[in-house]
Amino acid sequence: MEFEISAFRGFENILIGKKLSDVPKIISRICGLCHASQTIVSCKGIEEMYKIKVNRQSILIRRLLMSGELLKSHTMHYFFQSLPDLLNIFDIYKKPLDVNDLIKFHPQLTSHIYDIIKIGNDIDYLFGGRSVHTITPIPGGTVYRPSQNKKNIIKKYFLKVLSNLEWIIENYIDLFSKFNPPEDFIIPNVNFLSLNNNRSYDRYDGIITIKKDLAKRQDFGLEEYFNYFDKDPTIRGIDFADKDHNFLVGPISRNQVVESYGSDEISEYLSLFDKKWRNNILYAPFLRLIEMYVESQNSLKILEDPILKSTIPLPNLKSIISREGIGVVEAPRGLLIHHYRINNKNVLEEAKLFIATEINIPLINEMISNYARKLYEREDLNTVKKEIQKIIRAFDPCISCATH
Amino acid sequence: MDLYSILSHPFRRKILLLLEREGFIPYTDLMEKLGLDQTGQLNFHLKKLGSLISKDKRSYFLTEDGKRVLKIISLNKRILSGEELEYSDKKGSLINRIGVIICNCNTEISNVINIKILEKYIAKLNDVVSVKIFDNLCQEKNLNKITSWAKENFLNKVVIAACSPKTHQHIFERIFKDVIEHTNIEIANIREQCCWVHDSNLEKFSAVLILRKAELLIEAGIERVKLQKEVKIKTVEVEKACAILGGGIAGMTLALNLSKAGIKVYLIEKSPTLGGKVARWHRISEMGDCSICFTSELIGEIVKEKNIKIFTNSEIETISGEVGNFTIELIKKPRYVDEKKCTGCKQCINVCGKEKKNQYDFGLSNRKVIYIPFQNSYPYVPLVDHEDIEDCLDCRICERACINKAINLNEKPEKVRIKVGVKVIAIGSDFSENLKDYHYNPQNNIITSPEFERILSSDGITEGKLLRISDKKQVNSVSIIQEVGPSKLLSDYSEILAEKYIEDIKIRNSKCEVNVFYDLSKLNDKDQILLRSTNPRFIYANHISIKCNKDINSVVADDTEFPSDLIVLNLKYIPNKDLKDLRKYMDFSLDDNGFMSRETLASGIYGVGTIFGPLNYKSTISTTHQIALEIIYLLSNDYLVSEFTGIKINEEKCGLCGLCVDSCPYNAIIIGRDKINIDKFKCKGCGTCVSVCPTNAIDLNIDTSKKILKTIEIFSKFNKKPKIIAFCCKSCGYAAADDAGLKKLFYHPNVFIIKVPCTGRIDTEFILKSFEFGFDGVMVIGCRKDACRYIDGIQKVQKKVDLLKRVLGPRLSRRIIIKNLNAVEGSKFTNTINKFYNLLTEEIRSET
Amino acid sequence: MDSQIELLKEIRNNAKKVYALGTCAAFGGILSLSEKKKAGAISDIVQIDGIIPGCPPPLKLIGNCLIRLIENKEIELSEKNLCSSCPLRGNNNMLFEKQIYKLNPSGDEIMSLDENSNCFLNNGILCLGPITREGCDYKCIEYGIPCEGCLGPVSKDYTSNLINFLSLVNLSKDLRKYKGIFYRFSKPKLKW
Repeated sequence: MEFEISAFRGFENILIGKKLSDVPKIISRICGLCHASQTIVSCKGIEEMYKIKVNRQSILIRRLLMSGELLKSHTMHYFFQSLPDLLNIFDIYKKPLDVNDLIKFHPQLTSHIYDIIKIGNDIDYLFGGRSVHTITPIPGGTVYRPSQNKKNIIKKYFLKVLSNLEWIIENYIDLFSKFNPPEDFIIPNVNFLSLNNNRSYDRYDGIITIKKDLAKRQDFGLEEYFNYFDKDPTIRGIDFADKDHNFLVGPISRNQVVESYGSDEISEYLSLFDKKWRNNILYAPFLRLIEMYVESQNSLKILEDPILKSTIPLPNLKSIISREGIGVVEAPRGLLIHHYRINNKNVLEEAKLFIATEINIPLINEMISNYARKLYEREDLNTVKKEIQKIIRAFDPCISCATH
Repeated sequence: MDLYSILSHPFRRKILLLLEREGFIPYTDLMEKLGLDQTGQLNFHLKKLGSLISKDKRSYFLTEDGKRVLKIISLNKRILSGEELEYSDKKGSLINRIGVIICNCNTEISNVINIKILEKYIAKLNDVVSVKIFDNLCQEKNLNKITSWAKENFLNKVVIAACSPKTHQHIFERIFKDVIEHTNIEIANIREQCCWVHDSNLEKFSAVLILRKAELLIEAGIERVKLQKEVKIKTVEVEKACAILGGGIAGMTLALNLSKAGIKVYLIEKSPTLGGKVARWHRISEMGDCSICFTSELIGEIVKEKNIKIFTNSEIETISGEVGNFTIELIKKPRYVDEKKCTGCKQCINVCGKEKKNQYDFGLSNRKVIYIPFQNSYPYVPLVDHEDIEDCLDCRICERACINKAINLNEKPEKVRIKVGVKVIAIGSDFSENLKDYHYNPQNNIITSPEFERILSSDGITEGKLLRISDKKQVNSVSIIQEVGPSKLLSDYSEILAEKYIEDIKIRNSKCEVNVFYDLSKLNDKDQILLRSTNPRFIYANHISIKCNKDINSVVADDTEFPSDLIVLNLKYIPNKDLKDLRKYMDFSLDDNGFMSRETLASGIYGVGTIFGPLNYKSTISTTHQIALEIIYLLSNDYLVSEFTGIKINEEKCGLCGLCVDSCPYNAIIIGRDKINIDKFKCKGCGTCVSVCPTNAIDLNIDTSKKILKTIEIFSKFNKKPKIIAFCCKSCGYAAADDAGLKKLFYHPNVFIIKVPCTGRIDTEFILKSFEFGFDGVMVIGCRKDACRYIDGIQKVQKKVDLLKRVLGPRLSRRIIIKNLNAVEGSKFTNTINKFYNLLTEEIRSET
Repeated sequence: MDSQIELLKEIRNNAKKVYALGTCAAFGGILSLSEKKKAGAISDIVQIDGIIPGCPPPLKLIGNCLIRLIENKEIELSEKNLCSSCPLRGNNNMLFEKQIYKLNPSGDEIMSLDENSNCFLNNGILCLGPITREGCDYKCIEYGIPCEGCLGPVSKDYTSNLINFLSLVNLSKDLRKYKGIFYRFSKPKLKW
């Protein structure tokens, strides 16, 4: 059994020959769920080439955009993909749920979820211009005109999200914390790969850390990424240096690498789950809720920052300092790296895009092969096919992104 | 005759039907067929039928009226029987009833093709009600025959297959006047562009092809006329009056010319007096009399004319309206002296305590604050300049000194509104002003040409004698520096002026030395050649400069010094400063030098005099005659009607993007904040705007894009390869095609010509659709670049084709060609087509 | 790709009405830029009853179209181009033969944008507004970025509009050689 992403859309080829100011606009269309991360990481890569230091206000707006994107993406995944699987796995709901069942399962949950989805959209709309394929992040900064009105609306939004999330998290704890996670979903020995800012949770900037097993950590700067993985032009996909262990990116890796989320309530919530969950892929949905909570709290702090009241000029991109530029963010699904190289006419010569789901594919395949092998002894092919999908879904794969 | 009551009885209807079917039926047969046995009933009905039937000796038959009525009934029959007749549920579209006339042109057509087969084909087409063949339509004496044919068949549209529309279109339109609208008459050119240019003796099947082409030409005409919708034209009632801005020599002469032709004239002058620059000259070159005498005579004639109303000291505030019907709001600035009460005693001037430099003497002398501009100014009434009223001492002595109580220093400006049909701008030019390099200083005997005129004038500061201004000593040497002003402006009169000055100087002091200097470094090449005069006094130096010395200045020409008692700077004309302001209310553009540009004058605006650039006196006067004729012609109409051939806009599709505005060579389209406006009189119907509209919002009234695309579609039914389509502009390309027809120069029938008003009309979509429909080659045949009838249409289509070729690639690029020629180059036309045809034949052969 | 085509045909056979949602479905989308993969409109494969274009389709447009569909009416898109709703459409300075040399405005130009600013084309920046359909609330323009045509072309043939539009301006050599501006969202097939 193999999880193969067969469609190949060729974005890396499309970008060849393009001017730098054009690249983020095209990149944004890789995916409609992680558009903000893609646009922002593209801008960061270009900013590396001009060696521009982006002003703090632009960075704060970018963080808000990424939070909005996270809210929408994680909530949708939790409700439409994780929740039905979890209810099935833990026998809370015997038969597979369709959408109507899901909505009727707990109407208040449904209504809270939809609120958050809408709020995620609106945040990107208000600060990004559009709720999908944001316009405002450009190389050099983010287009922002101060508006007290917008800030008030967004503040109310985040407060609502926090209150909804508290309910949802507690509901989740009620439902699932008493169980032990099934062994079929245990993550084998992997390299946990994540961005972090001195061991605290930060998806915008920082250093990359690999955590092997439970102890060994290795930090490296962006420029050294190719020591660990790179694109092989002969195969479609990523070539990893470590042939023995697969890589994992995503909420679980973030949880493993980061030492603190910066919030006391979070530590309390986390403590309600048995340690056995920590290296199980089914822990991810809960972590996603946690991440939404953390980011909402952080966003409220950002909105208090006085720099959002001023109009700060955007830099004019003048001279290229380096012909290569690399940008990194943690997209909702995991590490995202864009590596650009331009020629002497200042148009893009090569683009290497490292997408989170692409990094996860070998691990997904490993886990579903093992699970399938075990299941096939008891069940028929169709059931096996259905069951292994639960593993795939737990990874929250973004097929759009992966098929660049 | 109440038609409805006649038709109400089934018997009567049956009688009519019987008569239609059988033509003539005797009384007894009628009785039998109707199943009647009593004559009384039949008699009753026959009487009721009234004028629908008639009777000869034995039988009854239908009259013309009867036949007509039956046509209506039979149409209804088809409806009642359930037959699907073509209706349109959109507003304003008609059922098309098309009549086709094929003019044999005295066997010119039937010599080449089988005209009967042609007739049959056409008669079978949808919506064609009737086809008629005429031997010679333009010679047809019995026009009634044609109009009644149209009326009997209830035709509303007509296609005439005959000679080129350029030959007899107006005759055909006249034939159908009041029966069929102009816009619903389509002419298919089957003579000059079909029968005369295709040789049926060439190949066996050629006659078949030529017939097919003729069929398609007519069919295309039918499809085109089907698509014609109602055209709204604009009618403006003409106000037979003209407003002339500027009371100088040009404005005044024009005013006289127009007034003598019976046209009301409003002569509007900004300054307080008529006369302009010429009134301040000494004399007009090549004429004997002194300038002011001549001018005052002219003014005298103007004052006598009842048709001329003079507004001096007045400026324009707003203008609205369109050609034929303008409303102008003037402001009459206050003179502070009542013209009607003043007797011209000049007491007020005597008692006035404050002096100023007299601008009418170019500052050489002084005047009082209350003043009369000059002797013979009109009106000869003192005034205080509007700007000076604050400056004056406010002593009010003048008010008290006036016996007639004519002075009122509190007078307010007055607003006047006038309605005119046309406007004329005659505000003249200004003199160049940048004189620093020449050390201009009248007190140091370096003066300008206008000031020199004042000195020569007998009412000037030296009473006409040739004296230095600084010390009133006699002048024994004069240097005239020519062409003082911006170097890019040409002047054609400075030579004449210099000659005049030499004459005037010699009259006053025959021994005076006069030299005329040209600074070659400041002239363009053209001027150097033009100004080579044979007069030995004209000195052409590479560099001229002026040296100021205490007792006598000198002109340094290259290395030679010429001491001069008086140095006269002969100033060039520069564009009038007020032109820019006038553009706010009037639509014209400036040329590269800043003068008014003749080309884009809006309809209803004319210009005379030096606003277009420097002109000498004689040329100025002759332009006024020319413009007077044009104005008289325009105002002789009671109504102005906009052409059918203009454009219309569908506001539901218009995005106000302005691409049409940018491509219009006449500035006929204006986009406001939320609305788009067309000046239907400026629009010349070239269609360049239509070719760039991205949403098909703007279209020509007659030459619509839909029609052209439909024409391409019909022509593509031609089955022999290579098929070529040629877009020809009506001024050059189409005319050249006609010329080829007249000269009987042969080419292959595979070429189909589509007439466009200008090649700029060609939308890229036409070319792409041509290829899509199966044409192998596309030709664009239009005017030469500098001779384009609509200024730059051919250049616009050239740009489009160049861009298109990049997109299409080399194979298709070879199949698009642009050819420039003029209307009499029929042989070039034919050669081009034949060459292209051969090229395509080769290409197709090598591809298969 | 073939499985996608099969799926599309199956949908068409079993559905009463099929509408293309988004520029990718309606015209081919961003993948029109790709030289490796072929992207086309779904109307090339099956017959569709209408389109809701946009990248992404604007919220209001989707809402309005859905309402019309629910009322059993057909979708009606505006026939006008973007200029009709653009806030920068002010007094029209002569554009003819204007030099266009930039794709995107500089940081200064973006910051200084207000309602009195001139149209992008008048400042030498290429904006595809005149040949793009309106309906998107001109969000890009509000943020100082010229239109890239993501809502797709107006009803009239795109290639013709493009060439007619470009014939009015002077595109700099740099931009003329640059691939992927005009056919970014829809690469019409040249059918011969």
